[in-house]
Amino acid sequence: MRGLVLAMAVGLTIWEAYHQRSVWPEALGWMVALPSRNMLWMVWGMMAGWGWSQLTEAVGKEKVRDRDEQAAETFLMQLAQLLPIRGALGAALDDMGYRALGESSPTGVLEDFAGHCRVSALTMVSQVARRISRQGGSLLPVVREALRDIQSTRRARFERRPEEAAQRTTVMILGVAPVLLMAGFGLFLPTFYRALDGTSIGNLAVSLVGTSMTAVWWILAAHIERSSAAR
Amino acid sequence: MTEALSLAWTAGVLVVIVAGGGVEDLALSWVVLAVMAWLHHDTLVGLAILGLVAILVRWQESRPAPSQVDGRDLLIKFWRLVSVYLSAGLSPWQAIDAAALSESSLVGPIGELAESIQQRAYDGGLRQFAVAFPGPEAPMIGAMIQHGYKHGLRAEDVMWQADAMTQRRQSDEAVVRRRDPIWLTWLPAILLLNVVWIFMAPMATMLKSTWLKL
Repeated sequence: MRGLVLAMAVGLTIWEAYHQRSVWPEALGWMVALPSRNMLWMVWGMMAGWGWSQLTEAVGKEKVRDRDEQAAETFLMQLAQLLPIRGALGAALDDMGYRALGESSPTGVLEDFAGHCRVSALTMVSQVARRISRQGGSLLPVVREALRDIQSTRRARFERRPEEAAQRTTVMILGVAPVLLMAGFGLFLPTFYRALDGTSIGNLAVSLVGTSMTAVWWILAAHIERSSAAR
Repeated sequence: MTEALSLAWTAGVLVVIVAGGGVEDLALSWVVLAVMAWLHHDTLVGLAILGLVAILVRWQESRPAPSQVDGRDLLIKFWRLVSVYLSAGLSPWQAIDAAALSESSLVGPIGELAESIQQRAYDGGLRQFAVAFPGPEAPMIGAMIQHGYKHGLRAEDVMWQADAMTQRRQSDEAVVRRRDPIWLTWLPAILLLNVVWIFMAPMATMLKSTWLKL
């Protein structure tokens, strides 16, 4: 069993390293189970940590997506205001402070910003701007269209958000509840704790808890990641 | 001896991590794992593997996340891009060409469609295009490209069509999304059962031992 714990620790470290993530959640799961000295609990502690790691990563991606979209929206809003006043993309970008030194081309600035934000509407504007700079045409309707696109996508997402947030909080609280209960047993009901720790029925129950906790967090993470993949 | 080696190894890796350009989160979490392994398992092999993994990770380069774009979304994006290029003043073929070039997977099917239109093999070209992109958008876009070849394309018409397609796609997605909260309610229910297992297991154990005594 000791070998299994170590093999899992190594396996999870490799997994997380491959996905460029921290091993903190797994290490924390292990540490929570450490006082029990029960190897099975350590295994499930690490597995639950893995599920938690998936969930936090998915939530992180969602935040990055929101931040990028907000940056793109602000950028396009400024551009839509300044383009008709200044008449040229370069001059508008100068006013916005993106070409203070005047070294990069206006389309290059747009492409850099679109590459940084990775929002499809902004990428579209940068592609069209490159084309227009060669063949001529007006960028203003394109900017307005992209702005409208981002705003409608964000509005639809924020309408769904309260319901999703309530669901996630419930799942997170209920996920931690069995761990708190086990700690409570250890402190105040040693008979219950011993029945959980040293018996086959107890091990079965802990395995069930570990499996479902890991699975639920993983499913929720996959759901969040799927919804945040679209930009 | 093993303990001393483990300690030396941990200290060595720590020096590598710090000297290698700052302590990263990943490296820190490895340190926790390594110290825990050393304290509680006293296994040099495990520590060595963990250490090697941590060092390898430091040299790993970042990989871009694969994009997940559906064929229908791709086509709608293409049509919107065509409308945008048209409104920017490009001719229909220039707009279609530029929009198709923006996505490599569109170049082949759009090229074949354009070729079939030029050879006046309208039905065959449309059918092939619809096979390449299953969904209601492909026949509409194919027909509009054919129409554009004969009579030209207006930016407003294409924009209106792209809007209609987007709305249709969004309503399709909304139907799927409306099902999401229903299956998501299973998750708290499953977790609530965990609390029940934690209470039931000691009771079952105690009942079993009492039963045997009887």
